[in-house]
Amino acid sequence: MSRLHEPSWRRYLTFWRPTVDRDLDAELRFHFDERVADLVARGRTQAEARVEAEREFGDREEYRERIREIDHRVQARRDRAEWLESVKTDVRLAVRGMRRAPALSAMVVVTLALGIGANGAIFSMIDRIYLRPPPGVAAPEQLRRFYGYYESRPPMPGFTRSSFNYPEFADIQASLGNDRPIAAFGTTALRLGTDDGAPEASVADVVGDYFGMLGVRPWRGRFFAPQELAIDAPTLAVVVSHRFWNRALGGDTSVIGKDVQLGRRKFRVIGIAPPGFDGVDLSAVDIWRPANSSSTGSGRSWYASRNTSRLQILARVNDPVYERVLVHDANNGLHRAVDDRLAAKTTISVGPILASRGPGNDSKESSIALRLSGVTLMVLLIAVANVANLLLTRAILRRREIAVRVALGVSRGRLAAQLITESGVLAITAGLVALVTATWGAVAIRTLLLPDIQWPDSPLDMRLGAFTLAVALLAGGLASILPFVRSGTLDVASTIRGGATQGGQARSKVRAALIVTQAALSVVLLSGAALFLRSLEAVSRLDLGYDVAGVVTASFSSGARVIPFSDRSRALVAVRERVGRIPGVHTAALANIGPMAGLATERMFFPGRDSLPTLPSGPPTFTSVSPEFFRAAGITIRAGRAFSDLDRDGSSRVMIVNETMARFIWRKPNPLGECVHIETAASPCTTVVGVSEDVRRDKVIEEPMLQFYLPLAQAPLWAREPGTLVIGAEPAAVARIRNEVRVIMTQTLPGSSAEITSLAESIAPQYRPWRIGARLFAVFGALALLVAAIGIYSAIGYAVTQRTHELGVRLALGAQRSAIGTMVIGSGLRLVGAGIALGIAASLVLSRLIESLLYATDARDPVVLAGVSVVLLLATIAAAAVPAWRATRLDPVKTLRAE
Amino acid sequence: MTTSELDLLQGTLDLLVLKALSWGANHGYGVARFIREGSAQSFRIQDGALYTSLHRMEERGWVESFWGTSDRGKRAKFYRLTTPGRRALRAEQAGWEQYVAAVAGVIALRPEGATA
Repeated sequence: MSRLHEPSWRRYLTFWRPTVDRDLDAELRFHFDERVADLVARGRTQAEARVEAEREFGDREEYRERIREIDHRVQARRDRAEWLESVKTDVRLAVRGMRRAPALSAMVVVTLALGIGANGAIFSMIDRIYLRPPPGVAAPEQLRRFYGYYESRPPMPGFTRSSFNYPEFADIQASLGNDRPIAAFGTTALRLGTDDGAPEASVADVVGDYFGMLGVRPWRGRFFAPQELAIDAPTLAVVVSHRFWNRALGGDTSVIGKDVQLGRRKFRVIGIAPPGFDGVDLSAVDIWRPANSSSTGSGRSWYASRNTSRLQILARVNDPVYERVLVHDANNGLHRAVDDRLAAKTTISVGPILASRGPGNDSKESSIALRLSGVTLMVLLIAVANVANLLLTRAILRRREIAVRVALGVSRGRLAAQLITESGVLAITAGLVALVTATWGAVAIRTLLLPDIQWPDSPLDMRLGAFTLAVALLAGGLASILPFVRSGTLDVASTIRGGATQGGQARSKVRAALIVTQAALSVVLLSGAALFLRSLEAVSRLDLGYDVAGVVTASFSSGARVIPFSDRSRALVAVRERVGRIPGVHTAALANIGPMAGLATERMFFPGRDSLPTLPSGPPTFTSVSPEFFRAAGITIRAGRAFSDLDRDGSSRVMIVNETMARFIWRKPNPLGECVHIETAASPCTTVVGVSEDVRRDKVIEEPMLQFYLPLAQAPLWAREPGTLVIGAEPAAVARIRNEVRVIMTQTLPGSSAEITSLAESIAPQYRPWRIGARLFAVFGALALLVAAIGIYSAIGYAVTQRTHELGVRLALGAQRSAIGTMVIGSGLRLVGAGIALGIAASLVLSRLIESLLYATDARDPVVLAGVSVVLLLATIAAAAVPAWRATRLDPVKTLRAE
Repeated sequence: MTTSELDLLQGTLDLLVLKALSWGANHGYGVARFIREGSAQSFRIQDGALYTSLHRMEERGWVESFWGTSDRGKRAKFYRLTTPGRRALRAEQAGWEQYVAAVAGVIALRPEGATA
């Protein structure tokens, strides 16, 4: 078959075939032509020679394919080796470039590392809270938590709870049947011993096949057997976590079968959970025990009571239909308890296993965390803009080197490749440093934002590493490419060449844009910081009603031995005598519950009304107190009198109401003498003898509440025994007084545990969100300012260097040196001014996002914006000062000569 | 035309090609001619087999190719031996000589008490 007489048009196709094929064709053609020539030399005619040569050639197609494959393989190998070589060369060049300009490289790396690290830190927090499923659990996406939405009577809002009591659990499980098991757990903290100094462990009480549902298998030993989990047969056995086993039990496997002390009792260790498994909450669990072994201390079977709801219920679902049916049947089971109003009006829903993603979870901390991610993104953008400017500066300073390279024949593609490698090396270096800053930052954020959680491990893990690297490459890439994007095209060589002395319009526009962006973002961040600081200040100045600084509360709880409540109460009375005599204490009083520590209600009947007056914040609540209580807590009596010793059991009943109650119920500030029936409608009148100022009941910021007080001696029986000692003292002496009180308490009631707190300490957590917001925004704002200032400094410094010639001419023509300096600073201020204007506009737009987090502060406060602008302008002047000073020092003769 | 032409075993073709190139770089046609002349026209060289051999040995790293000009002034692909190729040639040659000696040994063997 003749293939040699190709139609001539096919010859043109060779241009489009890959080189490998073309080479092979050429090689074979040469061989054919040589053979023909040889045959002709031996006497054949051309035609004969061709025929014979063709016959000898054989069927080309057969082997051509094979050879082509071989050649392609060889070529691919060669290409790979070549590419690797060029990458190695580029990396070597990049490293050498970095070493030649160490200050600039360091600044670039540090700036990027700070920006990337900040994002890494926030990502780590958000990842742990919202994204990462609990480790060690099988198929976490199938697990569900139960939530109950309780519909209150309007106008009281409903609320969602995630904790249930045991009877509710039992009802639900009964409704679901044995083939749809659910499990539950409740966490608590227990001391590993009886004395106060013993360390605490986080303990989870387990109901149902908890481990089986989560798909966790024992690492050593075993987990609970079904009979050990039966609710009415206490089993003193525990499973310990791997971490706890290492930390507190010495990492010795022989501990299985031995006992560990929890509180007053000894539990046998039967197994160790696998490494990495710490329960399904954010906070790590150390020890699991069957719920049947927990006790409330009062001896009653806790599991029959509907008053303690501390079980979180879990289920596993594998498809949406199953889930719907499960929820429906669970609701049926729950509503069977028609006599319990809480259960009857609760609707169950299920949510993902991550508690933060469930319904009703919008804590202040998590909203701050989310907004912080926006903040760190801004910081990163500032850093990127800064680095872009720095890199552009460096590229322009190297223009001679670039020009030589281009002259030697380096293609635009290679130039771009070299640039990309440089940015890659920088980015990876910055990314590695960022891992360190991200870890530190994450630890700092954990401590600030969520200090109560026992974090199981370091924030540095594979996910953070991957995220940091990805962000590093993105940021580094952006920073390198940005300066060279000119109206949509990427033009490295001409951008660099066209820069410099001619003024480089496009290039300086890019720099200007970068500076303006930095300034705008700094304005936004700094104003955020200022707003949070103002909120914090406003909140700190709130009058809570109490004399917060001087109030200390103390109460007894069971320690080494179980002490019944009445004994503890009596001991408290005895302690009050002695405490009253401590120097520094001006009053010691008793109450059934301490200030802002809880509430009590009782049935009340108002003559002339047929229903209980209720505010949106709830019905009236009371505290039963001893006469000195108001002085101890610093509560002013606005009208009438405080209680006295004459208000005893048997004498006429009295009560003191707060201002809100007076206004709301009797519509006059002075309802002295009004009558209220407490406990039953037929009880004797309790007369209002005084009106107290409003105080906070639960939270630092709350709606007005209806509150009243009863003397301990006249309170309903269940509220008559004092539970807390309320001490009013001089603020400076609080620390000393706490220690003395502790001594007195342990002496009075041996075997007990004394809990002493100052009021300031117990409410401090409520200020936390604002404190954290202020601190974090301030840190990031300062960071942004620093980065922006560096950017301005380098930009103006470079501009001065560029304009040396021009400035020299001006000086030679008679310009004042001071005018030169002013001109330089003025150019910087103009740019920053534009940025400030942009930043203010952005702040006004974004203000809506943080409005909900502020207190008594207008998110668009003009004073704040003006203040921030002034700060930024001052920073600009400071940053531009040095280059401006250098400009004034120019010697016109030298500069003109140098050109 | 040709006297009876022997078919060349594929394995020995590599040896002959290597030997041809050991005298200096050459193009495919030159190698074919060398083998044909060396074997006094006995071996019939299938060009497909020749070029398969050359390209395979290039992949193995025994020869390397480059484009040059033939003595007639035409552009041709030349091959030359690499250092590993030289080592391979020595090994193949030694192997061949062993093979030849073994075959000759068996053929020359005279069993006890038998007549030729």
